[in-house]
Amino acid sequence: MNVTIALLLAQDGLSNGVIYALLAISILLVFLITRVLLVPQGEFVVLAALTMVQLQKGAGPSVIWLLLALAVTAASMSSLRAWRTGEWRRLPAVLAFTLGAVLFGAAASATPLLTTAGAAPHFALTTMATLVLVAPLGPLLYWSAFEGIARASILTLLFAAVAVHYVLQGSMLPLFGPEGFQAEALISGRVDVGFTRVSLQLLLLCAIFVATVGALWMFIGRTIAGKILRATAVNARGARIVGIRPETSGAIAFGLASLIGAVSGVLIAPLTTLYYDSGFLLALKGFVGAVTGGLASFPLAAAGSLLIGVLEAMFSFQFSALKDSLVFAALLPILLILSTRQLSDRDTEAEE
Amino acid sequence: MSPVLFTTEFEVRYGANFAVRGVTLTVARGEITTIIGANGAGKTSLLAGLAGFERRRGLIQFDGRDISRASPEDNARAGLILVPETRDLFASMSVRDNLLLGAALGRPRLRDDTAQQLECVLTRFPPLAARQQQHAGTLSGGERQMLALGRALMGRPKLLMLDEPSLGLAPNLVQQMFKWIAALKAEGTSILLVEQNARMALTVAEHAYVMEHGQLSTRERAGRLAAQGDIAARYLGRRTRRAATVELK
Repeated sequence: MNVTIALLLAQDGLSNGVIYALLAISILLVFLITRVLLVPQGEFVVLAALTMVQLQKGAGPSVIWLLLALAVTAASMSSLRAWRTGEWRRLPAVLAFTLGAVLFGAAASATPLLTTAGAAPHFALTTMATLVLVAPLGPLLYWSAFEGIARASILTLLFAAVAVHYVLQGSMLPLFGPEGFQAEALISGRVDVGFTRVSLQLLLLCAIFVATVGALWMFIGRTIAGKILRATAVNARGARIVGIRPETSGAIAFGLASLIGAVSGVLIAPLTTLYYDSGFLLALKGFVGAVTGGLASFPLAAAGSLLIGVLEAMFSFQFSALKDSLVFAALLPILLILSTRQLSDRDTEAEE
Repeated sequence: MSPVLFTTEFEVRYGANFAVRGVTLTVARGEITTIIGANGAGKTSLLAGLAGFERRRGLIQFDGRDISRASPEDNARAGLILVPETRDLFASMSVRDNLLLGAALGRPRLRDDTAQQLECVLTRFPPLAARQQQHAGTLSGGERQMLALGRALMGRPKLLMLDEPSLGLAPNLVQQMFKWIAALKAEGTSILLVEQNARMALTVAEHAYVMEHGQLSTRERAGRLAAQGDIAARYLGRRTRRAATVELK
């Protein structure tokens, strides 16, 4: 491997790393607020990517059926919970969101009709439609599967997340078929920066990544809704003492995760060929990224994810068959370091 | 005038064990009602149960409404606000944000004058005003207690439930804390006060209960309870010793 190749590989790796970082951030966000390890985060990404491809081809998006099914489940589960607990106050908001998601989703599914036959649909239009179709899936999933067991142990929540992952993946096979898809590139070409030529695609990815993270940071740190979300993550009991409903925070966290997932899907669609079952491996890499941040720190999780992307690109050049195993093997030393650090933390706490 | 809080046959259970049982409790409007008792008598469980945190049974009436099944967040929004023994502050958030969150989800018509309320709380607790941008986790024990109380006040409580507000405070701060509590009552806030510092609690309170093994005594005027010989001996140790010294002189 010479320097030129290494630099190109690093660029490739960074493109993937940006996607992993977005996954890691969503997984971490949902975990801190709801204690759910969101295994289906990868499915949001794949759903968005495949929807993007379908819309670019001028086909109707299959994801609308999943949206409908989840909307019906979410509405009935929430109604059942309201009836059983006698707590009706939150139901109107849930039903309004669900109905809105279905109506907007239906409108977004009709976008292929807007473009004249033969012409490629406008990029902005397909992106918007994809986001509208995929972003509401998070809250719907939360009300369908997680709200009812919100007080269960972390292990129960993890099992539920794995089950939801399999249900989603299983339903994506009949919806999208077993073939792989890759979207058309948003932008191509490279720009010369002296020592190497940087792909415009990577620059665009980085710009969108920075914008997404920046927007999230502004939301969490500056708005009162974001502070409410943070309060739930920092001290769940304290949050309830000031009147914050954990269920509302949970639904917002899942909504942010599916929104970021949809953005990642739009970004990854032109980079690589995705299959209906590609989501799990993506989520796993996002999870490894979140673990490098000790399941606590957002900046560390993002940095770790970028590193994983670069490592993966290097490994796949040198030992392509071992690419994934080597990435996950990298998790072992990380966990080892983290656990010793945590142990020493606990010791100092005990001494105090 | 109807009491602000009223319970009958109230109980809190952890599995098969009763932490609180058969409790009949009345908190009159605009008064301080205190519950004194030894460590482990069930005082904290009683307050947590009333706030909606533990599994409980029996009737709870708050401000004329039945809240026997209400969640902690609904109670907080309705103005039944707990300041727990554990404080439960948002440690990695600023003092100012902690206070603002106290008002963020309160009764809707009160949200408009949050700024004014914040000003009012910061004037009451000057050390907090100086540390507005600091993380709550970096505060001293006394400041943390001020912040917990301030956060509760931001929600404009109709009934403030204070669990051991003087716990872990330096002696001069304990005095100050009880001055604040008395001032809050003078402004019209109803308070349910749980304290191990029975002597101080009985001086500020109008009515009092004694809690033992999860059960409450009958309601008494605080002054009369303080004068009872056995209560004085059991819960007001220092005072009886002092009284004895006076007698010797």
